Amino acid sequence: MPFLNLTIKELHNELVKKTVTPLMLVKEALLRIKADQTNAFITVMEEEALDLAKKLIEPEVDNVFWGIPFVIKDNISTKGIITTGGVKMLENYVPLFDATVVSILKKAKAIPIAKTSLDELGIGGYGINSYRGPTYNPYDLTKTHIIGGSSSGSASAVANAITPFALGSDTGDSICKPASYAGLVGLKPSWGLLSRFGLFSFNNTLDTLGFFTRSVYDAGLLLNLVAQKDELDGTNIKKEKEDYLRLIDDFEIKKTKVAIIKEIANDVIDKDVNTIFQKTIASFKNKGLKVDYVSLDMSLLNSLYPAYFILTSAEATSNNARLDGIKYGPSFKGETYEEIMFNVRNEGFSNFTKRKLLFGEYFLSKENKENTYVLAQKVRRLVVEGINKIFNEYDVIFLPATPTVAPLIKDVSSALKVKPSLAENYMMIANFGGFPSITVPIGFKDNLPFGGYLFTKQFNEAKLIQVAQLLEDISGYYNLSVRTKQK
Amino acid sequence: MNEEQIIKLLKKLSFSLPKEQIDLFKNEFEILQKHLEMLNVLVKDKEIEPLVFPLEIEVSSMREDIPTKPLSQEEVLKNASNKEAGQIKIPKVL
Repeated sequence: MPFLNLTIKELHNELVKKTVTPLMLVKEALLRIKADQTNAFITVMEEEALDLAKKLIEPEVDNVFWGIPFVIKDNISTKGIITTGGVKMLENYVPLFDATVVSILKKAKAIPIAKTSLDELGIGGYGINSYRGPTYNPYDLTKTHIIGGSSSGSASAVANAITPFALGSDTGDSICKPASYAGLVGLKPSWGLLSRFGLFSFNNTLDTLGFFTRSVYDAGLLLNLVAQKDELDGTNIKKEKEDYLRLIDDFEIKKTKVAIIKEIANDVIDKDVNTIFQKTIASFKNKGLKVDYVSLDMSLLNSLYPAYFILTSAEATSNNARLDGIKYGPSFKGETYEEIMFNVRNEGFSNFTKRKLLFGEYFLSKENKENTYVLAQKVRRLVVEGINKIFNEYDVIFLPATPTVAPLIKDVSSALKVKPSLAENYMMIANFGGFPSITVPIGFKDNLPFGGYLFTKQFNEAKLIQVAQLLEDISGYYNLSVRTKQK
Repeated sequence: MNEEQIIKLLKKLSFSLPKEQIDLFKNEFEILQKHLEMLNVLVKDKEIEPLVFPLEIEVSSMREDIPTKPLSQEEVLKNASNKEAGQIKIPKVL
């Protein structure tokens, strides 16, 4: 039986019955990694994973993560394991500590088996800007379609059923968008709920850790485990633990009010996506949910993309100033330390990242800051206030996750756009407001999957998971992967 | 933005860009000006406090002041490419 095709919950049952062992799972996962054609992995932790698995003999009935293999986006620190951030400059960097989320999972005896590819330092939304090359969509054997980024390798690993879950990070849509293109559940919790200790900072005010799974229930299980107080992260909300799956079977879901932002929904012109989206709305209504179209100022929505561009460029420049090649980084010669630094940074960053940092330097300079960075922060407030007004009346907002299926690599460009697609660039709303969000697969077009997207007010994860479970039940795409592609 | 201003910013960033990338940047910079115009219209004549973090509540916290074991010298130097006599080595500054 191909056990890795199972969800976390199902796999746990098999481990408890001893029909499979952690060692068998790790060996199977390593074989699948070797056969991977999507360029999803940067470092494989073969020896470490086998060693850990060999030590796990007696299953822990009450610990659903016991012996479950998983993969980690390569901007999340792993003690003693190279962590590159997807950037050439750090190709030999070995962290001295585990990120808190990794520590929690290791303590629960889950088994990390590989580090996954990403857009350089998390910058870029298509999964094509890693120093190791693009990550391909596993649903497309011709290697011509993106899977989306920046958490591209993590999405590919779970869609390819190499592991039942993966860690990722999300600054604008880096989990929720690839989840759509990969037919996965992608959960980005509220900002501050998960510790970010050990995550390479891209944009401190937007970055959030999260995960890919193949069921909504598994996402809830993960959240229940990793949402813990952490003294090591000053921005971690010290919230008491709660059961985020507690509403999943609650019949009160009939009282749920769902809003659809019509300006964004109307920007989706793909007929197949629209048909499934409308069918899903009809199903929500049939289940007794109240679904309404609401409106947001178009100029406010059009401001999302530039405001996000300014905020992320500025904070990326600030955060990556520390990459000086002195304390860590490759060895370069130079007559002065400034020359060494120049050589390291010049060779270590891609041109795309350099342009992004150049913008950031411009935004942060004394004479421009007020008219760019602070301006974007003001727009951010307007956006969040607009969304919070919707949340005063509605429990969740529901939209197509992406305007269509994964585009061709040749058709995407990371350069600043004159007129960006709203339907492709709205998910940063959730990052602006720290709102929890989730993608759930809802359909296929041309053998490529696409998702539906839900988000809700801060720290309302239990409600989000409840509605996401209903969405999964309606779509029927439970445990979707390239190996289990069926309804 | 002219070439001279771009070079000045690049110097601060400690890297260079090939000419075609500078041209691309200039083009993106022109696009940005249009976007900025739009953002300015949105905030015009409004008193808006910038939103820095997504939460309005105090989120920064300090851990208890309990001594912990610091990194060893060996650990600190582990990722440095140039080291000598237990220290990170750089060219002479003075």
